[in-house]
Amino acid sequence: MPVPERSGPARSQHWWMTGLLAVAFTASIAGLHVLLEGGEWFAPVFGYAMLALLLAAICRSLRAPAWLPTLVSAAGVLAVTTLVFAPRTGLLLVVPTGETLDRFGELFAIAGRSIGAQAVPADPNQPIVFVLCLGVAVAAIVADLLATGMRSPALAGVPLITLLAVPGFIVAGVSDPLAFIVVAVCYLAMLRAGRPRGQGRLSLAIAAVAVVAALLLPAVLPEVAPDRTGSGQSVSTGVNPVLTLGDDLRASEERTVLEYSTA
Amino acid sequence: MAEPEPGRPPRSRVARLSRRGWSLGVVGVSAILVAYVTGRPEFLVGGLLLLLLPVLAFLWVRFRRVSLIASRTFLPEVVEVQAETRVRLVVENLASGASPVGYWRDTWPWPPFVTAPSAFPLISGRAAYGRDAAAEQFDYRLRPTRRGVFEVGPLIVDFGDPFGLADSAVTAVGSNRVVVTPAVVELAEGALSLAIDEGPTRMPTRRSFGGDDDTMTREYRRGDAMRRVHWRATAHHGELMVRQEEQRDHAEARIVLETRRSAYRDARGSGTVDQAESEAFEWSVGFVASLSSHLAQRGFQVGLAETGRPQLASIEQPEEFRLSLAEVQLTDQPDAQFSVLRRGARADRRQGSIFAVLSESDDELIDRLARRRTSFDLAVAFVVHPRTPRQMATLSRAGWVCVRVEPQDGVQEAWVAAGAEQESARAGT
Repeated sequence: MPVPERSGPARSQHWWMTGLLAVAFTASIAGLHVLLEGGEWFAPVFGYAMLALLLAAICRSLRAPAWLPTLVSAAGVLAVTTLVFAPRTGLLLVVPTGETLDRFGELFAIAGRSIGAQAVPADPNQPIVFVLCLGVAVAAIVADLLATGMRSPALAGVPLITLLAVPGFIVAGVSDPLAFIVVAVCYLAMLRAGRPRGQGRLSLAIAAVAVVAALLLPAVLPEVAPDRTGSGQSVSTGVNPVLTLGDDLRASEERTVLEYSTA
Repeated sequence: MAEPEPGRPPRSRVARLSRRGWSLGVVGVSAILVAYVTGRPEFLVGGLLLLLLPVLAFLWVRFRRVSLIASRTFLPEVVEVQAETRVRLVVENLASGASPVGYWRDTWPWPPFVTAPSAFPLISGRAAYGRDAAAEQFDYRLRPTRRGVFEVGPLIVDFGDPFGLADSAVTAVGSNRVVVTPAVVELAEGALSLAIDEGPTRMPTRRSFGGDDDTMTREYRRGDAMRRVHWRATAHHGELMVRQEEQRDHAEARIVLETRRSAYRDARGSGTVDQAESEAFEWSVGFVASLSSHLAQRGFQVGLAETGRPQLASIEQPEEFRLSLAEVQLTDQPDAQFSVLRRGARADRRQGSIFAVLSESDDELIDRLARRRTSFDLAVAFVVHPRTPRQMATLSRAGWVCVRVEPQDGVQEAWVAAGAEQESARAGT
């Protein structure tokens, strides 16, 4: 039986959505602490996420056309990156030039080498922070576009989960359950947006049961045994450069990539 | 939408996962697989959450207790085709818990079969409201497209879980009957000159005490037969006078309606709830509704004869008559007592006007009508969607005014066409 088309979250709710995304991203970013030493890396990465979300939200509250907030947000992130990570290369300090891009490439290369060489927890040097900042900013822009721009908050979970999964990808079993709970709650609240109101207690009940059961059930399910003979190729999404961080960090482990024999 | 089988209650609930719910479930299962294959417990937790959410949501929409009863009142209760009736819908929540929040749609038997979805608010349950069931009231407008007696309902309430992962449609028990009568069109005055325009009850008293001549005569009016002129009174008054005792006979009008299934070539054996059995028959019934009302308003004593088993109420009881017009169907059973003339009327006495609404009637009926032409001052046949003009020719030769009609023609059009036909027949003779 056809179910009536439900309109997505209303435009006026976009600040609420941005707030939820901000909290979820903060928790995901904080969850990275298991990978990196010290706390200085947190401020710039957090700042990047907030910058991307705020630019889009401000642009939206000025009643800009639907496609503009994402563009403004991306341009803002690029300008700040030029200013901070490739100083004195940009036109008027913020407009990236060929020289800026060369500098970015260089940073990527150093980060790759650095990640490959270090063990967890890694020392967050400038190239690594650069990669993290850009990755988080891309995730935030995509999440914002999906949740508010395209009004499908369910899909916004993809970049969120990708970011949340980074520690889990790199080292098994070190993820912070607190980050998991905060992100899960924010995600559920995002799903709630635009739905009929008046089911507050019910939403709480379903959410609580699902979150608690998800945390407790693994205890009774068969244990997840770390598998060291992996397939060699790690999962690559191509969306988020932060993921390559994990691949590279794991490259230090010994594993069978290929076996062959001749007759 | 499937028709519920008779004798079995319709499936009262449909529940399914939404696209969002399916996506979450699939991602959840994949994450659990990834967890076991790559040995990463975080993915097990995340996957379980994503899988549990749609499962819980589905269970909730599938098994939560919903007990709603809907009742409707129609204003007006009897509505004409294409006219509007206001439906007042009262939905009671009989469950102890609150009703789900969602959208309601009411079902009716004409396309598009449901109303546009509107918000269905929370109705508190008995537990929260004391002993009486809480109720909510909705209004909407209904414009029936077909004549008949229809069931409106049941009400469908669509609701989902708060996260939009699963949807359910639940029916609120109860449907109500609405009677849809054919539209009565105000027929043009004077399009067809009827023998006498006023009936006995509405006759203004023109009696004077001058003498015997005066008491029984009135002035000549257009359409009166010359043989009815009272010459003595005419001489006395200095203007044409006619005998008034003839009045009674001429204020009668007879309508013959063909209701036999075999006489309609577009009859499909039986009608369905959303499609009439025969469009030609629908036209006939609609025309009889307008014609009988036109004649009755002008004081005619209208007698209705059906060729099939009698179904129509007497026109003297307007309410019952309207209802019977809503209900009348084609029948296979001919009326053995069918008579062109009013029961007990003498064939050699003039009996006013006769209107026959026919389609593909058999020769026997056509012959009877043709033979009885002389008993009436005016005889008009409306032949709906005939295969050949042969029967119209037979009737025309006998002196009937014949109008050929197609089901899509307007009632007024046919009425005016009959007037034109009458004029040309007069000019021809």
